Amino acid sequence: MIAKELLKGSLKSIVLKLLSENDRMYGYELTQKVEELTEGKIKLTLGALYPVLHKLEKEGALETEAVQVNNRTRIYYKLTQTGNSTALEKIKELEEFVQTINILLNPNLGLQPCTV
Amino acid sequence: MYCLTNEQISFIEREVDNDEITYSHLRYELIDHVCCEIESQMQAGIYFKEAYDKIRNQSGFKGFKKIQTDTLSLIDKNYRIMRNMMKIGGMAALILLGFGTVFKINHWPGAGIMLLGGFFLMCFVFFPTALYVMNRESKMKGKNIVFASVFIGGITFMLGTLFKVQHWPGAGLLLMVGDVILLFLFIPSLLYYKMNSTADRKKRQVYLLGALSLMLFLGGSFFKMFHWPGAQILIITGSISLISVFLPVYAYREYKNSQHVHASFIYIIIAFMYFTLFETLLAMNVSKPLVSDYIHAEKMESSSTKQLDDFNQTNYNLLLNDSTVDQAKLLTLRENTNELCAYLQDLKIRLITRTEQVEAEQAGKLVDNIELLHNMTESKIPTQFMLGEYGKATELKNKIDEYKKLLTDYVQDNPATSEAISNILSTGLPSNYAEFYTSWEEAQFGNVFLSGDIGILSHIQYNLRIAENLALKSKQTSLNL
Repeated sequence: MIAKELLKGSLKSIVLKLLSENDRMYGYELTQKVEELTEGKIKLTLGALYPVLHKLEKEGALETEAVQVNNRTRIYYKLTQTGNSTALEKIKELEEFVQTINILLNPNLGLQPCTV
Repeated sequence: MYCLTNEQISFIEREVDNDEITYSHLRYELIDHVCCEIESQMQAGIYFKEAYDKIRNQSGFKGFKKIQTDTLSLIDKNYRIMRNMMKIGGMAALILLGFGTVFKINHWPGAGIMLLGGFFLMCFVFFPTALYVMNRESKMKGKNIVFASVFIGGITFMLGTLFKVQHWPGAGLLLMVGDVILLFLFIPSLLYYKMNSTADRKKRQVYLLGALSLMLFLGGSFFKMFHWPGAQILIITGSISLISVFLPVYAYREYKNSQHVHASFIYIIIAFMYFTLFETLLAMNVSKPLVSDYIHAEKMESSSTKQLDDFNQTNYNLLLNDSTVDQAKLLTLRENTNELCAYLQDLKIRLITRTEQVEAEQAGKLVDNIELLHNMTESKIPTQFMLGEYGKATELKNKIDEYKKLLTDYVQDNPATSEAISNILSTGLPSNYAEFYTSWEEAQFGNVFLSGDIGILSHIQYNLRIAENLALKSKQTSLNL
């Protein structure tokens, strides 16, 4: 399991990335997808996911659509026009972040001490 | 794939609604999410109830409500600021009030500042921000009236309390306005929207009961502050129905309706108790007559007068036993003092008879128990009696002057005592009063309320006995007794 604190900053990017690859998704589907892709290492909780979804909707990156499924209302999210560019930006940002962290974690790459 | 039945879905809907999720489409999402989760668990062979409890436990103590507050905090900057201010303000106010109380009890310096600061934080930071947050989280229709009335009424009421505690003028008015707003705007509007928002008949009955008893109670304290009749009965019925009928019924229904008790339920009960207690104490205090200090002083002086009278009697007896003393003169002195004292007593009784509209006999009893007077703050009738057409004050002044002459003549061989007596029984206008009043009568009895007049008359009685005592003392000294 990945710790919540590590996940916090990149949650937005993860959501945008998933939505950019799928036409429309609903909350539960998102959590399932993440769990499936990461083989259970990342579990999005209710409490973490929905605030972010609503925030993105408020910012205009996402739009919603209500559909009746099994006697209940399901809210689907999809990227808007602006959302597409935001997604690209955010994904790029996350990639950079991961690379930078990698450098930090392996600072001696190619500079192994000589053993004479 | 397993599909939940309609009953199971409506159970989840009720549970989510229990947490008052009102923001946008969050309610639908939470219901759908929980349903999906349960469906997948049931697919794996877990029972509905067990699956639900598991999810419920995952979402923590505050449950779905926390998701909503987190969402609002993330989206709305104002909400976030207000919420933080509410938390910090409430905390700081509590700490200040707590420490202030401890300091006050121990008479350490700074207690007043702390209590005042705590009070201000509570009133002007915690209360408005808490209302803002509640307003944001609620979806009640027409909630504006409810929130506006509780905001204005609450602030006015709290300001009134502050003014009262600090003895600033206008406290009564503020408390009255606050009470009226709470009583006639807030409670009815809240009741109206609560009644509209629920179809459950039993629930509506509980709301109605609560609102009615609260109104009875508030109305009672209102009556109490104004000394209107019936206050006691209103307060008693109101508080009894609040504490022994509404609270148990409400608590019972709350327990029955959900397996878990909301934290907010506990807050409601505590706030409720606090308010009830506080309001009762305040009503008692506000209704305490402003003139209680006068009454106290009057009682002290009356009892001193009686003691002085006894003391003087022994002095007379001592002097009368001496053969060189002019007994006739001495007896005249005694008689005159008693006469003037009786005249003063009669004035008091007549004042009471007129102002209270009672028989002389009843007034005679009341004169020794002026705290029982109903119209002790009435000033029109007493002023009319003392200064107006009856002009009793001038009559009194003349009598005092006559008596003073008698007394100073009696001690004319002792100028010091003579001067002291003149001072004690002075009927002149003190120089520092000259710019406000034109005469002694006006300075003493102009626009004074009933208990004040009685206090002044009792004071004169006391002075008479002191003057008499000085005269007797002087005589004794001159005779080397």
